[in-house]
Amino acid sequence: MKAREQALQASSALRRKKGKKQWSLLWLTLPFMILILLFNYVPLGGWILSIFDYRAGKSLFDCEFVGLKYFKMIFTDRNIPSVLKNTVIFSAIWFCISWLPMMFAVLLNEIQCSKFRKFTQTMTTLPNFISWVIIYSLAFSIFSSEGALNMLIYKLGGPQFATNILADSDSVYVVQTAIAQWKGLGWASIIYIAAISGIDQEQYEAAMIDGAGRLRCAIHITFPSILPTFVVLMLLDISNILNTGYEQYFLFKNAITAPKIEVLDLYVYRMGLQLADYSYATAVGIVKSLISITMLFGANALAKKIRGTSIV
Amino acid sequence: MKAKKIISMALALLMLLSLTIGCQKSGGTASTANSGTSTGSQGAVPSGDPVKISIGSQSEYQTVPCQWYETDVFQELQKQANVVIDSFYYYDADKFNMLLAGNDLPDIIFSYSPQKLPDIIDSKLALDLKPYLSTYTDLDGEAYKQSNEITSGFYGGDEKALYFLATYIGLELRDGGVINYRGYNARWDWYKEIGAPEIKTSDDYIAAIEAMVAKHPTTADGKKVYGTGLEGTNFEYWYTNGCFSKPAYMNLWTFGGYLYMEGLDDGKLYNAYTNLERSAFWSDMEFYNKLWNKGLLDPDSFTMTAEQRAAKSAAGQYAVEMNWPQGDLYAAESAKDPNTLAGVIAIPSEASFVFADYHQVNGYFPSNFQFVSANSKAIDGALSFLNVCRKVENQRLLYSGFEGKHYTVVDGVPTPTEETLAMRLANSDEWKKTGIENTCNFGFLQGSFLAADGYPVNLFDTDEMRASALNPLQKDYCEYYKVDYPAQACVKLADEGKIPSMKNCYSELNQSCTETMPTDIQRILTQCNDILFAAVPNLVQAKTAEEFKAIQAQVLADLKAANEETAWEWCLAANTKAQEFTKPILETLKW
Repeated sequence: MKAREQALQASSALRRKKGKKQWSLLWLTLPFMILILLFNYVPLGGWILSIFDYRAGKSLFDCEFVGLKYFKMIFTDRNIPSVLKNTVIFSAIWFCISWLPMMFAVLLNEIQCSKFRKFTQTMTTLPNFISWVIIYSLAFSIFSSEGALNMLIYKLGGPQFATNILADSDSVYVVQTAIAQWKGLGWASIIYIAAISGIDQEQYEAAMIDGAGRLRCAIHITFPSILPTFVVLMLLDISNILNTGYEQYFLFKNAITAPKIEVLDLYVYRMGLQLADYSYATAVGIVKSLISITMLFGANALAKKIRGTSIV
Repeated sequence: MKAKKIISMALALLMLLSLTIGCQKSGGTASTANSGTSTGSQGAVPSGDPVKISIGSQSEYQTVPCQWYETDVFQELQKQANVVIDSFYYYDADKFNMLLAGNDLPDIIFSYSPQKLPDIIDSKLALDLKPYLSTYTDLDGEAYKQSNEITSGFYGGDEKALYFLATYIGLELRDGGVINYRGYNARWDWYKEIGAPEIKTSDDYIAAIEAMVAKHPTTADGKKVYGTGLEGTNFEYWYTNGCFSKPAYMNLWTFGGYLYMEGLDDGKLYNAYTNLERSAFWSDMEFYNKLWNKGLLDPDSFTMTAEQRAAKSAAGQYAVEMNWPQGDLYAAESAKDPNTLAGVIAIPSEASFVFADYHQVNGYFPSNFQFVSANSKAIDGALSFLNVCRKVENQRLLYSGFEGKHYTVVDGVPTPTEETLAMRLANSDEWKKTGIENTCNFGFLQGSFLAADGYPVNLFDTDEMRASALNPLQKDYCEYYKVDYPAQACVKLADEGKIPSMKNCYSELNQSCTETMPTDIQRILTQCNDILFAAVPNLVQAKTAEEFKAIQAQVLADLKAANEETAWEWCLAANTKAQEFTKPILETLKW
């Protein structure tokens, strides 16, 4: 009996100790929880603006209650179809090439010279830290009518103003996706590089002993090992199908690209902040969030059904 | 283990602390302004230590090497008002919306957002100045009475409260200023080189541009020269607002960028969206289309930002500028050669108009107004400063400097000293430090307003002074047209009755007495502008007149589908109502 009591006491002491340790870890997460609460949940209170005719500076109690007027307006707004179309096209292209960072990580992993590998990784990660404003200036100096590209073509004997992809409405989707990929590819591949580094090296050694080459190792070990990461990121991408951000599109928008570059986030920004139509912009934002949440749970359920695992 | 625990707790605390720091109010001096000493104020100037005040402006006026309120004239005004300008904010329209929403305003606010007027009143963000006028008498001085009456009559409700102050009251540019900023303009050295041909139509203008570009196909460093270039990120700068088309217009709902305009010839409202006969927008598009088809419009015009356009202009790649002459080229060229004639200037033309003799009955209100925050903790300081600035003698100080130092009065005639004129012409740092003519929105009166001595508050705003401060380009222009200063060439045409001036235009007054556009109408017009913006590249690049007409027909159909007619009816009714309101005011004009 005594021994059992001692064992129980020891076990509860261990639990207490473990609990204390976990508490200190939980304390460390507190600032981030507060951040999320402050910047992700508290602003949800602003959704109430969508049912009032809100005017900046006016107390909400003094604003006219309009019910679902602004939600109904979304269906009559002649800009919404084109804005929605642009958003979905950009997201669809993005979704279709979402395997690129994974492929890039695998290829990077195959580089034998570690100095060159690190150099390549650094060079491809750096653009992520360049602001969109600077990227626009760079793009303008390269691709504008008098930019470096046209100068080169002209000097090589081509026409004077051969191309200006910044003023070509037909190539907006492709050009913008390419620019975004150039900026984010290296950064997006980091998570796959981390996943690859977590693969047990013995698997490769065993495969090589069995006669597998680098290609077979990649196909049968690397890809299957990082596939769960890819699926999780893809699920998150599905929920973000309407969340394309607006900075890039805001900067690259010009008279010619405008009809094809205005995405939902940019439209909400324009309506809300530039035209001060807060209530309508909030309503559009709410609908966008609800669709995103629905898509996230839909994709999650689908993944659960197909693979047996999910993220939510 | 203990050390680890302490470190982890310390880290957690540090992160929490950084959160609280991040959440602190930025630039929070506005709400912490020193109000302690101002409560004991007995008169228009608070007693005791200087009161700290904060000022916010929806614009940027950093044209002096130091903070503008550190210049000599503003130091003097602060001293007179016993205040210290503790902080100054600049914000754009978006940030202004945020400040209003958060009721996070400095003590004195400048704004260019007339659409916000009802919100500011409804939200009680502006202080009613009426109860303070007996103490701060210069707020309602003789020069401002009519303006205050209009503003309080229209926006003050039943109590006739005075929430807003107008700026720049009086006649604007009585004789057109030194140069006329509107009309057909051209790079002077090239224009003279092709024989300075007379411009009577836009086609004459295009021919002149073509001739200039033919003579100078590239710049000295080999860059291609174009007729002109515009910024593609903001189409509002493409409208010339009838700057070089006849008849000319003033844009009434210009503050929202909407195209309902007042004709200078008859004072009527015109619909530039759909009235093809009298639309400055459509005539501008035809003009740009012709330029494009002749290869005279910079192909980057659809993609350039303002900065990129300015850089090309400074590099000498444009023969003319749209809207009004920009100083980029002259600034760049005169730095290399002080006697250069390379600069863009408006050409006198019987097909244009002159921006002179504009009666600013209510200043630039409501496109430019000031108010004191109702939540200000330094109301006495803010009012004292505004009161001091509103004194006519201090307006003279702002425009002309200190009596005895920058100008002298001999036999009742105030005249700038030779040293002052030399300093002004050189635009030296010493001149900038004085702050003279850098009114930074505190110009409550136009420079041409006559002070009690019978001379303008801006002593540089006379024919003699204008002629005395010309740069080599302007001198050459004057010699060519045989005038004393450049604007005179255009004013002469107006005096001869050949072109209109602004003397019969009261669009600013009408606008100040026009009810604010409802959100629903704003939405319609925003859609209309979207339709126009989307069509501009196609219109400009249309290869034939038929193609242009086809695009135009589609745009007109889209505008109809967007309910433009409803917006037009509202604006027409609002304008008619405003004109009825301003009619008796115009009959009692004091100048």
